[in-house]
Amino acid sequence: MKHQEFWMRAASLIVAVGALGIYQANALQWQREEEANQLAVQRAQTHNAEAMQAASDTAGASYQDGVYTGSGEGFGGTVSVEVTVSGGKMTGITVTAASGEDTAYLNRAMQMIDSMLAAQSADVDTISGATFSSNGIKTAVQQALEGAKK
Amino acid sequence: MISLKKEQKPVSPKQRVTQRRRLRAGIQLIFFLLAPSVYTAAFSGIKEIATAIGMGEPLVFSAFTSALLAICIYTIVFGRFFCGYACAFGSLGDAVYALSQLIQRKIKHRLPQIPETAVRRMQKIKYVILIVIILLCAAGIYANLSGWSPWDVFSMVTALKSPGLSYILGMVLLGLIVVGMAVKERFFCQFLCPMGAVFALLPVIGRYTRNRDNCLMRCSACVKNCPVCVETDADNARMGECISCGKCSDICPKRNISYAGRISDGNAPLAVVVRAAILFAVCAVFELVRMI
Repeated sequence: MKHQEFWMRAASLIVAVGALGIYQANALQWQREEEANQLAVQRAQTHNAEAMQAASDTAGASYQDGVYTGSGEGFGGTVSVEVTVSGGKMTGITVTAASGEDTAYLNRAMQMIDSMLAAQSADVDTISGATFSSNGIKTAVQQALEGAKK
Repeated sequence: MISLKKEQKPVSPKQRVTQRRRLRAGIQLIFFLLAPSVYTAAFSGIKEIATAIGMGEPLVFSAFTSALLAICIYTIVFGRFFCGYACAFGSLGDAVYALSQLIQRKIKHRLPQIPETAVRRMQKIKYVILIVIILLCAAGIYANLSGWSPWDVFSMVTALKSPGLSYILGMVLLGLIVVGMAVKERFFCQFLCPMGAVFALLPVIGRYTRNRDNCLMRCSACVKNCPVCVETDADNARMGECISCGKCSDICPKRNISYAGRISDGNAPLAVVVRAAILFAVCAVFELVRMI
């Protein structure tokens, strides 16, 4: 057969991609089940927490309202962020300057912002593969939150 | 007698080789300065996929996995041009080897050459490295190993950032790799590179092929000039090793090595520049080009 080598490789590639596809379908299924499970747990927790709502309202407001800035050392220079606090909660984090970071890596590291807002803390896992940019953002947010503490 | 001699003497390829070597070095320099992180981004894509599978999480289109996909598709279409002309680590290897060759010429002392059979055997090491790294990622161990990666050290050096003492193991490994690069051309790429292992397994459309029937008797200039010891015959199972550097096509006294079955002088400058421009555009689209 002509180009036998090529077709064998192409077939192996299709098998590999197919295997990843099957994995992906399963993984999405597991994720849906996991999410449904978490939702149920959350519902139960909210139910329990409702009784203590008043107390948690005051305790949750741990930061002072305002806009705070901070900076940290990234991959190729300083990363600066702006943290917005309103109603005692951290509501927004924007990266204002990161000239030394490669865009692809910075975008990857910016995924930490969602988890930081969810955790209301800078202390979240760094993005592997973009460790330096992640650490830059983390340090910058930590610094900003220092200024926001009551 | 004289006329016969004239007819058989091929065109001296010396000047052509020099010109094309300069073109290649120029393209490598541009990619080295403007897009040095493509290799690590694509490799992070592999690690990310392995880590996600290890944790049973669905795969996501991140900056790294999409860079991996783009570079793999480019390689399927155009061959491992990325390896030969654009990879920062490959360019480092070429620079180190060129310097080492210059010194060897100056001091009139040649380093011993690795025999071809050993080269072929050593080219399998990279698959072991790839599998080990994938398994370490899937087991969740890789993320906790810090300071060993020679790539981290290299990327810090290119960003003019000094790696701290915690990177001592990585620095030692990088040092050993640089020594290897001085001994054998493309030492890292063909023996150790885990991305090279991935590329070597891909089906490639844009490949170099020599027209064996048209070859000069016992010439084999192409193989002697090949950094990875590949004969570009149509049915050669080792073509995956070809890094599309085009040195075979440059040196061929009969310009007998074609590219993708269309371009008869496989490494013609225009064809090379077009391939480089397409690759650069791909890197730019995936935000892997750095502004200076």
